[in-house]
Amino acid sequence: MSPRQLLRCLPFAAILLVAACSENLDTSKSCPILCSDNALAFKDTTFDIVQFDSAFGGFSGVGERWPAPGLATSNGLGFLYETFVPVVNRTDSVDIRQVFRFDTLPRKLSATDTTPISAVTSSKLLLVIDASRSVIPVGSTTVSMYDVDDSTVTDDTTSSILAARFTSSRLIATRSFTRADVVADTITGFVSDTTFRSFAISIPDSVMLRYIRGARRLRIGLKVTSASSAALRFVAPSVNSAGLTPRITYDPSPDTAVAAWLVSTQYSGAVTSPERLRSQSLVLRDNTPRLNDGSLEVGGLVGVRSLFRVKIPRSFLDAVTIVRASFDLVQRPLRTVPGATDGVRARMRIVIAGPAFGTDPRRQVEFLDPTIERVSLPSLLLTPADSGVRSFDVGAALRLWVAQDSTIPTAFVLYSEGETFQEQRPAFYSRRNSVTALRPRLRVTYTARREGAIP
Amino acid sequence: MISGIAQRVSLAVVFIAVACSARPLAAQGSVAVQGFGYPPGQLTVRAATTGGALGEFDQAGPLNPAALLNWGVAGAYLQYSPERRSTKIGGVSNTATVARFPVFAIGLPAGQRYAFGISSSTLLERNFSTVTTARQRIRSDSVTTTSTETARGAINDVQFGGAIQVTPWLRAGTALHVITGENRLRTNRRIIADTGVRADSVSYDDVGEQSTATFGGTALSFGIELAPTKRLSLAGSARLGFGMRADLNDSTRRTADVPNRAGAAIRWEVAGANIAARYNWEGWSAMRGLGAAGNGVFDSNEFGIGAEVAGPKIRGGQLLVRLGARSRDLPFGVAGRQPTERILGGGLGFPLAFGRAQLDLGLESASRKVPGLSNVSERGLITSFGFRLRT
Repeated sequence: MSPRQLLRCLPFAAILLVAACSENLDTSKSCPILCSDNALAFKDTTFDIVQFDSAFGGFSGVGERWPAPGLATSNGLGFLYETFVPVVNRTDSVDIRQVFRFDTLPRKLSATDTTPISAVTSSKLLLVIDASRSVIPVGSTTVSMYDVDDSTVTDDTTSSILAARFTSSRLIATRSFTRADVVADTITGFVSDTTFRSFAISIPDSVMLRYIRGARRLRIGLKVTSASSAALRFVAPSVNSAGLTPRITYDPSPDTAVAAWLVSTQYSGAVTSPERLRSQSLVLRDNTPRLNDGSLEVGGLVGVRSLFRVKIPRSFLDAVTIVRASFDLVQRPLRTVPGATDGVRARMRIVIAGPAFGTDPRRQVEFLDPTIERVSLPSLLLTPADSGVRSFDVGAALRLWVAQDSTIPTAFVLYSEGETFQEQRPAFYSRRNSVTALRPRLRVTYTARREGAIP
Repeated sequence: MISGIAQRVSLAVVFIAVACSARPLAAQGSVAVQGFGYPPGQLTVRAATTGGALGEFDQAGPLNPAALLNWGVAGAYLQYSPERRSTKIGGVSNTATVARFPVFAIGLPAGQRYAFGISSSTLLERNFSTVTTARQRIRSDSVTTTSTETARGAINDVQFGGAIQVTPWLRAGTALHVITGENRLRTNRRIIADTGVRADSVSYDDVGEQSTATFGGTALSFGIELAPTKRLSLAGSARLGFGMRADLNDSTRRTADVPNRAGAAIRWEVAGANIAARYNWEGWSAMRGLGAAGNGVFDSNEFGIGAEVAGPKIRGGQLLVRLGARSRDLPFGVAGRQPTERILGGGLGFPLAFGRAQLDLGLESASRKVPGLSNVSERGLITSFGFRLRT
């Protein structure tokens, strides 16, 4: 190649050489000398944000789904639900029973074969039990199944009326079991799940046939008895997974081509949102004393939940970047209550506001879905005997509220994850306490917003 | 009642604290890119590789509107100038590469006496990325913060100019400058508390911030080119800056002035070569109101000398060989001190398409220092490509 040819190639070679270089803007090693003023300055402040606080008792798991248009909850868009329903018997203090309603039972062999059912086999009530969080005594435990329906009585939802129907003449079936029996009952399709177990109670086929042929409603009341305390948590009718909800099954034909019926809970009464009454908790006895001194309690076999209506200083939050935020409650020590030194998890969740819930505080604490608008706040492990400040992490709630319309009411509900199966009921001082330092408050660590684009 | 008043007072105190503490960020990581960034100089490859000395005479450069008449025929110019920059602090070296398109120009002569031009040139370029860690204390927690910051953007000078041949030896021109551009800075800080005994389990959120500043301003420039003899040319230009503003995230507004500028150059044609020298002053301190004042915003002086020599003839025309050196101050300080820059450069001008186009190649070596900071030095290797097209 002659020098002249080389000269001609030079520009193109140079272009190729430079084009091969990619941009690399990283100048980290030159810091901090050439990157002065790079450290964040954290500031910390507390706000007295609680405008209303109160504890509400008597919760035993509503177990039903309510429509909540536009809200994002953990089970998808637009519904709030309770995940579990309890059946509890603590001999000295608490008796909670559960009603499952099956108001329509198929009377034909199948959807396509309209031959009336003349015989059934394998009749059962199928439930799914939360084995890890149910309290199942070491010895034998018995679940009894009663017919709690009376079609001649108009009022079919009042607890006291239903409670009176748990009589021996209405007994349909019983199942006695041990904890080992429960753990052994895996669910088809959920074999790998270590928490949920199938729990079936056989129903005499002749009894089942009587309900089917008589076109009668089957409303089952469940009661648990045992030598020591038992607290069973069953998956509620409202969960989205059909394979986990309470169902009745019966096989109408020995022909294997005819499948057994699987009937889900239904309530046929003329009420608003009848799906709420597919199951119903009945609290027959609650001898767990409340403090009744203005303290804010949380948890217990019959649940207590506390509501905190708060007013967030929006203009402040709009002006800063929140690094961490805690809702600080001062725990009141309860050293003599049952289970005082055992731990229970308490969780703070944000309250849903909207037409479905209005401003009634009891309705606002009624629903326990921990995930509202994709925000799930962490829980804290508490023991009733402890004292001191408990800091609930609410940073995600504040970020949600800052992004929301400022007219939307803001509130927290504090509830126990052990509600209905753990007796511990820690308590906190309320905003009405005469000592300011004991009142609930919001503590925010923040940094000033930086005008980074301006050097 | 008292509690409510106390709360309002405490809120007000917090607000004042926030307002007073809102401060800018200055993690830039190189001597060149401090403040609002590095000024490439608004020089074409031809001008840059002759020490900036031909900047006042180059029709594609946006400095002197009188030079628009040098287009002769309608033409366009585009330049690409990546820089490989190595910053050394106390023996630790950091190398970065940044791409720039510093000059784009179109020239439209109208007869023998008039010429018009549009150009866009980079006034200040600000691109950097840093990842830094720091140990800090929040409440009773010891935390490690890892900050990732990336800045992209530039302030550009869009010029609409016109020139007139007043007499055979005098050319004059004027131009309207619209200063525009934006700086985008994205910051993400991850805060991780030390594992061990903590007072509570409240989590730390990442602090993510995005900040965009848009700039706007206007200026007028005037220039002349004198040819008292056939081989001697003199040129001078000045830019008179008017108001300049920075809008931050569409809310905050800061105001200052577009920097004034004045420059003069002399060119002597001898034995087929152009030998030139130039002085340029730029009043960057007028921008102080926009920001960066903490580390200093300084006016800058620039001296340059260079030569453009006819090389061997190749197919399509004459190869041009250029050499130059310049020395200048940089406008944005490091710890209150004004950095200096010395550049040695050289390049070639390749005629293409029988003189209808030209490819300018340039290689410049820049050395930057900060007076008083002897352990800080920076070298930049700027490779430039300019493509000049004539109708």
